[in-house]
Amino acid sequence: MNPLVEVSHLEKHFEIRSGLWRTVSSHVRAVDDVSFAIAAGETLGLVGESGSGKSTVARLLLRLITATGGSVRLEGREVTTARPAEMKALRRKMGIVFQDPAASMNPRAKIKWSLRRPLVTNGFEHARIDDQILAMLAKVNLGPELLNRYPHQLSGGQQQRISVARALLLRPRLLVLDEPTSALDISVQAQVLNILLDLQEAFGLTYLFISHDLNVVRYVSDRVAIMYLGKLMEIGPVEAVLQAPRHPYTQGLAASSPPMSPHQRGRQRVLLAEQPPSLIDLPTGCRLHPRCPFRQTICEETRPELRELAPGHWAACHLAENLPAPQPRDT
Amino acid sequence: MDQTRRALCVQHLDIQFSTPHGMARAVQEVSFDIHAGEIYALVGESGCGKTSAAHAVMGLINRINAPGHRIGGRVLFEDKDLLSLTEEEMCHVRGRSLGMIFQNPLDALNPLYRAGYQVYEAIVLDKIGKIEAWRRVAELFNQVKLSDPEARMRSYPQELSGGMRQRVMIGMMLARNPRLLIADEPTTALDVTIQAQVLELILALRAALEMSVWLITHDFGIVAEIADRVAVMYAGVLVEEADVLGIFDNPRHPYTRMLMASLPRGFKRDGRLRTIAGLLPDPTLEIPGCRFRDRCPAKIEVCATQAPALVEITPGHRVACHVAATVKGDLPP
Repeated sequence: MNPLVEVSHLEKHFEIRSGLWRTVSSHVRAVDDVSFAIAAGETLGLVGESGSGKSTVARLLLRLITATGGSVRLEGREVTTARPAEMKALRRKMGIVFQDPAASMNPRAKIKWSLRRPLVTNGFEHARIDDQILAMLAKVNLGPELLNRYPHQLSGGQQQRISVARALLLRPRLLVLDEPTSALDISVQAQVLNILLDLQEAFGLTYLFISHDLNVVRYVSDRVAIMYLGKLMEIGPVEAVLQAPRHPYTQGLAASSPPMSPHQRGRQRVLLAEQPPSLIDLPTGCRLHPRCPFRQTICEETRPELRELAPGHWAACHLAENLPAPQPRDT
Repeated sequence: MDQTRRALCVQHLDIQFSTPHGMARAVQEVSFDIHAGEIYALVGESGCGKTSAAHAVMGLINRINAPGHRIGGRVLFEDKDLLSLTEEEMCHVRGRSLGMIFQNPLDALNPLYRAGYQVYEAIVLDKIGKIEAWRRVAELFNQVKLSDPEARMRSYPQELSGGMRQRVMIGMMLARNPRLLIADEPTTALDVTIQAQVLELILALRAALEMSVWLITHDFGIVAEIADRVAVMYAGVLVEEADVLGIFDNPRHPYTRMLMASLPRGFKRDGRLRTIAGLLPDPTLEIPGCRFRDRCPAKIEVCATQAPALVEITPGHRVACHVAATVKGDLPP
């Protein structure tokens, strides 16, 4: 594997300040010792519930926030400590699309203005800018008539396609997609997903696709990583992780996620109990143990590390070899 | 399930809102029945009118939040036409026999009062003694499976997680033993593991209290999980209605069929998803013929002139489509 992105021991701790002098009273470990790599041209799906740290990982990758520890490398070059000039060059190699496209565009500027910004900022020739924008619009199946409209005059699907076009104008290698279709209707989601797959083929793009929807992640990803409370729980090929999960958390997630057909109603379900605990006061040992139906004493005492259970399939669970086999899920 | 008893009967419901561009028809001539004890799902994409229909039934569309609106048709519930009731009479129906939970429970709870007190308020309306009422609150918090109910009663809404808030809302709604629960996207704001718990709770309560549930959602996964019968809406019109297996295994309306095909089910290697070209029609325009016509791959001549009526093609399966009504076997893809 030739990794485009290498993340090792990445950490992000947010300080919680309290009291009269606003002294640091505790930390939120939003991302805690996370390591993974993404090969050039592949899609890594990143799944987790709210508070799992998946969006924080995305922001750390693009250095929109600074890491507390660990390293992020893009094409072998360190992102977390790059100097401003080097960072500018690195940023051109990566783009991001957010969940709410309306919130990531200037509501008072025409679409044309939003699309020109990245090219103008990076010193492209003015004569060529409009041609490039029109070519990219065609790639996302939009016509030039949208350029003179304002964001609110576009439908949600059109707005999201504009966000994708804008992120790709500088021809990045890596595109981070943070819940890109969560705010869209089903038929519009299908349009955006199809365009993302077409663009990946056309430009050889590498995607980090963040979502909480397992059906969407299964459809777009080559490999999948599962996060829970700032930790990677399981990572591996999409078929292995989502069809035959080895970690109880992934099993619970797969069982909780609604079925594709009413015929699956009677399926065996491992439901996770209660709510996720607070990130400030994390459980000892395995973070899942208070909610895990299979927990044993070792889970409360020792923190499990990621272990390779099958080629390329890693899970952080002491009991992974001894869990009851989950029912395979039809698609 | 009792097929003969109807919990709710909606007849020719028509809702129009006043906009700067003229009257917009949000819901057009929608008719359906919800049987006693069943979970009836109304599915559709944003703007199809599913929430407007529920708000009209609950009497939540008024002169203040929608000046100049027009509501037509009848909504029969417990031998009364809800649309003809005065606000005062409606207040007696709401809560007592008709309960509603919303997508965002934090918007529906008052941040200044403790969760327990807000449920207590709903109970003392029945002129029950204070001690008795508080006992009932504790009972309800237990019934909706809130962990540590005593502590949760003393919590403010913002101290609860999303799943707990939705449980408090369900508890409040159960306080007065409603016959029909209207759940408008009840789990959209929740994580999947919490969503699964709330859906299990709705199923358990339906069985224990024999209430009917009118579920409004855009998520076919939730429909597949808990619905008994399903209606699909498009641009204010009810286009198809069948039991849940009928909708998933044998959808007949082109819109339902295309919607099903646009759901991601497999892997990347299984090919691209089906998309529905075009946009929703402008609700302020009077459109002759079928409202789905411009986006429909199966359209025929009559679709341009005549609006298709919702007709029963097989027992319990109703479709509003000229093509589906005449073709018996396989439909064009």
